[in-house]
Amino acid sequence: MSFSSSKASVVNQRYELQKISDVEFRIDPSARPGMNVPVTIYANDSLITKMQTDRTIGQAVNVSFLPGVKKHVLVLPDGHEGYGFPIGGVAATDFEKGVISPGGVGYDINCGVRLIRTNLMEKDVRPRVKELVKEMFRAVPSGLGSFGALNLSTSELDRVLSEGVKWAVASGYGVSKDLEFCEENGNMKHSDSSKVSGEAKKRGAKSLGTLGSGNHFVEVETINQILDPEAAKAFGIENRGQVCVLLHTGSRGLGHQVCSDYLRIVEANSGNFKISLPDRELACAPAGSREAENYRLAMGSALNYAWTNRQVITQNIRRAFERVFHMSASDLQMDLVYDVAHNICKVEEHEIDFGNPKKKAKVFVHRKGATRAFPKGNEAVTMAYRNVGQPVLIPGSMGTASWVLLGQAKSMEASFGSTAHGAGRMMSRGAAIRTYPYEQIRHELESRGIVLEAASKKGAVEEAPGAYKDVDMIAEVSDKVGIATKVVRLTPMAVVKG
Amino acid sequence: MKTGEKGYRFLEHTTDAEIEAYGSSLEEAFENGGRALEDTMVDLNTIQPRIEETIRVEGKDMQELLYEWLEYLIFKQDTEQMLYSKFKCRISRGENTFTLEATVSGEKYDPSRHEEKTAVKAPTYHDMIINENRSQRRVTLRFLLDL
Repeated sequence: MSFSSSKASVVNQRYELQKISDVEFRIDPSARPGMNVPVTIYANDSLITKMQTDRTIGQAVNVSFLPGVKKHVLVLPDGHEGYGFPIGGVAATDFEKGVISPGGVGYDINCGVRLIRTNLMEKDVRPRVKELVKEMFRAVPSGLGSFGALNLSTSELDRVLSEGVKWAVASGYGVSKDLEFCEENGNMKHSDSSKVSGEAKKRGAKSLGTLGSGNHFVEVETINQILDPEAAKAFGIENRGQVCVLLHTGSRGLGHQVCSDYLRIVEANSGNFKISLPDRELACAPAGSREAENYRLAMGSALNYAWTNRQVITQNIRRAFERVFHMSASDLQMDLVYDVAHNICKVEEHEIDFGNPKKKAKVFVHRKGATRAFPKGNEAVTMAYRNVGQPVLIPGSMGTASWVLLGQAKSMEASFGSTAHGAGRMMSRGAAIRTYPYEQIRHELESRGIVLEAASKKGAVEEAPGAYKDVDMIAEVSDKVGIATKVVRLTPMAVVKG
Repeated sequence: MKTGEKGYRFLEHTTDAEIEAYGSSLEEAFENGGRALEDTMVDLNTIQPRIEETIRVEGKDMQELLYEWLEYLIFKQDTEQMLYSKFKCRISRGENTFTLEATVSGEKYDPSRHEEKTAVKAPTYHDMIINENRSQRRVTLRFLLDL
């Protein structure tokens, strides 16, 4: 593998965009020598203008250089600049002649979201929301103090890495019904904990059941709008004002270390691969090589760790609700609506030619900051939702709205069965700190009826709602493209932040 | 050399922490890079140098050495909650490897004394620059931390 000088990738080159519709843009492979496929961007004028101010689009163009990349590289409406791959992007590579890139999944393997419903209404929770948020803050270690919630033995950690949520349920962290409502039933079978380094395991042993920091959070939400009552009903959401809990976190230090370890391994063996790429963070291994296979197995273990992490946190949130409301979690009907990953690489079968739905092939779908959005009838969708479609969970930034969307057939044709994953930052952390003093944010949130409990004041300011794009606009574009359509809009009552 | 008092600064970046660290030598620049990393997690001035440790990392090139150095410090925070404020680095160049040996001093994270800023997930190679200007005895490092 060879890389062009880092200076070349620093240039924020403007590419000629073809406007296909109000919500779709395209860059032809002729735009830069080396591109194997076009880049498709789902965005409206406002979002595309923002994307052109940084390297989001240039990074997607770089991804189109990957050997064996199929059909097109996607930038979703929340797309923003990352490292190597843009965040909010999807790339599919050929199962036999393609490559697997650890950077196409990212450092936080299986960072993801889960939604838990309750039968409580806003009026039940509002009088006790401060007590509830304090109880949740205690129950879910966050920030730099995310340490030692559970102290796992080596053999137990190995079980987490191979069994995922099944381990959690067997160990008392949840009920068997929870398994049904996780992507892959919370257990990626293609995994091998022996491919996870000792360092990664050491980082994982003390982090299970912790939130971390950055943009990770637990929010108490109320249903603010129901746009698709039939789908909402299938997801157990029937009333405006119904209270839900939204959780956003990932595989913690274990996943970060797996990514880092395999970037190193892939790079060290790059001489054998003879792949030339425009960015070191795109480092990749050919499908079928030992390096690619070992990464997939280690990634599978990290996926299992992340699902288990969200499961353990869920159970601790249930306990917090029980203490505050003096009712059992089952009486509160605190059932899992869904749990979905947004940093993941999976083997799936997809349409690989434009306008030819019959021609399908096995590909490695890299979703980096993208949510699977499978339609009804797809056999990967859990039985309970197969007649409706998969729920897509799109968290907003701290204190803003979030969305549940519904995967649609169009996503299989247009986006390798994927849609956006969040709001996407638009203001730097430094600018957020200069713009929003902590007390101002707290007061503003409180004046809107939102209680905040944060491990780090600075961290909370960096995540100020104004630092992000408008999540309603992201949901709108996804809906308009037709890849995942609006079901319910949620607004927060309380936020626990790392 | 005029590098400012701290020897590092935080650059504007939309999602993560982009850092520029300086020194009159590679060693000094790596020490300032380490300080900048710790200052991303907590207020550096609140870390007492109570415990002294030695660290050794290797890289096949200077960029990998910087990556490994930063990753080791993140690993120590993540697994032992160790934070450091004093760094003394020595870098040696072998035929195909670069080695960094460091003596670092710090203490365990204590939320009652250390004002938390944010946890760091990982270093990255994104836009990493190591610029050695030998004639002016000035080394500049630039790197991005994934938050």
